Amino acid sequence: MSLEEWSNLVFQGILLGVLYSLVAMGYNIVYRVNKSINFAVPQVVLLAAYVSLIVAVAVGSFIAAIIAAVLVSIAVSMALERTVARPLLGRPPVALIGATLGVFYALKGVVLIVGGSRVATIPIDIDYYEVGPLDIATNDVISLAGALPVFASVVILHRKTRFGAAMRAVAEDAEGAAAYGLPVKRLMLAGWALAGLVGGLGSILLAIKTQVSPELEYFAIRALAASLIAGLDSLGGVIVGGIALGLAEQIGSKILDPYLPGIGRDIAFLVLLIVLFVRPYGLFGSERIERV
Amino acid sequence: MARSNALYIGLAAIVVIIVAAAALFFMGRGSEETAGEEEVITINVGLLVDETGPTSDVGIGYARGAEAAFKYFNEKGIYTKDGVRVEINYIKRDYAYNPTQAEEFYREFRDRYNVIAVIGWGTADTEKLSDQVARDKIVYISASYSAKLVVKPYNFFPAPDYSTQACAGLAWLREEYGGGKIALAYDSKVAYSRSPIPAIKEASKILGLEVVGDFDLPLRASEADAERVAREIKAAGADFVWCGNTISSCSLLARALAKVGADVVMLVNVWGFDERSPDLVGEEAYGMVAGISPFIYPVFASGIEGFNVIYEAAELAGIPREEVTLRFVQGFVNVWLLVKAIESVTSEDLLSRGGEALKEILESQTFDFGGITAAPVKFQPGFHVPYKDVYIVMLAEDGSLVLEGKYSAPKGIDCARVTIERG
Repeated sequence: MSLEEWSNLVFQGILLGVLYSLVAMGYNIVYRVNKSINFAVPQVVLLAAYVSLIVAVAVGSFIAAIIAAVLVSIAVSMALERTVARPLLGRPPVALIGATLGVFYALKGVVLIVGGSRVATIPIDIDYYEVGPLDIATNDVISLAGALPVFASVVILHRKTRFGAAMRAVAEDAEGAAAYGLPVKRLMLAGWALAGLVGGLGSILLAIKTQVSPELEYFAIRALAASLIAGLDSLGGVIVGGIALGLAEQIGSKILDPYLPGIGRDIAFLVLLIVLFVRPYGLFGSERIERV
Repeated sequence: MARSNALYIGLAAIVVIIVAAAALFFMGRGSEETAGEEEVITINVGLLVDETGPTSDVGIGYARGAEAAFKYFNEKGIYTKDGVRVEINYIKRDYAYNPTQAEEFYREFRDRYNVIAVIGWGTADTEKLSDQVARDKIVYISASYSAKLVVKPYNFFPAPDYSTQACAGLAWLREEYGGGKIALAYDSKVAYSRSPIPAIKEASKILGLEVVGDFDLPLRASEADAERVAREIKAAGADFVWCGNTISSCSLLARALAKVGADVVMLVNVWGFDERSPDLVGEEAYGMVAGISPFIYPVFASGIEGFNVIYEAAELAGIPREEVTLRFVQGFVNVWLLVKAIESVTSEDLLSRGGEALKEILESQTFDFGGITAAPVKFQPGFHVPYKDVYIVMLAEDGSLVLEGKYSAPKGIDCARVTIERG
């Protein structure tokens, strides 16, 4: 295999991984504030993608499509916090897991009505460029250029601002944070809104990179593997987890598919299995994660 | 307290008995009733679709077409050979392309609704159920055109099997472009995608095409997957590519082939190419992709008599003409075949022998769909390949779809049998 082939394989693996990370970040933010997993994420991602497609076609504006995806994702996430997560506060983590699984199926019906399982592309002009050994398309550039600032913003927001410090306090000890006068419930709502924001952006960038199709749901499910590999309570680690997953899938497929056809796409779950055996709380997660 | 509990239990029992009696009344097979002066037979038919699973990219349109057909023919009136009206009560289930779920729904169709026929979907589930439907004597008309089904006594579809279709496509490639190297891209884990591969390899030898390899393209491919496969195909020096998946992954592959600068012509299986392809593959891939179809595309419907029926049905269902797609046509024609069979049996046969009577009719008559299928449909007992022609539709340089014409599998090879023996 030539250098050009390897370079492009690694580039595409990283790019895919970055998009996994973006969606995975949504899982992690919710985990940090509620200590449980939001299983409705894949349908929120799909809904946001279909809404962005509808807006892009109707308005003819790419920016409007991004705004629509983000707004829908934030709105649904906040609604979930108010109607599902908040009433379950204080219950075991499995309660929220079960409830969000229920929401997953309810939203699936909504997505069918809104999107009708259509397969389409977000209408943008795609040009191809050669950069050294790499073949890069416009949608590659948009995906990367869109994702990296979001990561940076979330990490800075989390580590360098008062809001981030308050969020961290809630994540560490919600009752203690409340005793110090922090508006815990509002911070939790803000956490879900932030998760919706990154999920919505992840959704539109995935749609631009591939297609708007029901398959996006499975990307979002695989992103959960990236989240678990990183550790559910690690925000920075999720970037490494996602990229590791994207690279493992692409390189694994390249090397193993000739001997075991189709094995590459299962690598996400093999990697997850190995990581959870060795470090049940993920590569960068805290040891205190509760098993459910 | 005990007395009021007994009262509640008694009331609940009465409700359960009423509901059960109503269910039995409405679900009975072949029930007869008289509506005014007219005698009406009601039969139950299962409709198994994928609207939420990995083949929903083509499954939704198919389901829409099948449902429009049921509604249309019920509305227009279906009459048996001896003039008795038949009402089809169809029971729709979305199995999300999960064969185990399909088996469960099939058991529900059979045991709860006593269906005499099923309009089915995917290859893995239809193949898995084929022996069971034969034992149950239930006619099964599928969207899977797998060669392995053509020797199953109760399985039918109004199209050549995938292998015969692929061989006809290869004949077109040979005629249009001469010999060369062909790469086979498909999902090796999916029965539908694997189905025609043995026949393609055998027919390639006869046609002077060299198979350069099998390339695993997931049905749920990401763009990264498609680009990796495209580079491998380019490195193998292929002149032609066979894509055996559905439209989502095949269009990603076409886009990726254009991106990596592969100078190839890609031939796509019936479920991997349709009216959406020009938008999905992108301008760079124009002029390098062609699709196979046993049914004429609605964009070429002008002058095709059978489309009058489909458009009338669509209108009745409130579906605009522009939403009548190839997938819609595929679902519609499957139901239409069943309706034509019902119209050729007597009411007595339909009630007493159900699926068995329909099978005999399907194997003894020729069915004409007014020019929609590439040839009239005629099944031979024991070998249900109804015809061997397909249409080839090319995505031209300007992004339009061009009907290349009708092509047949090469002589000297029975592609369906090759797959049955070696698949």
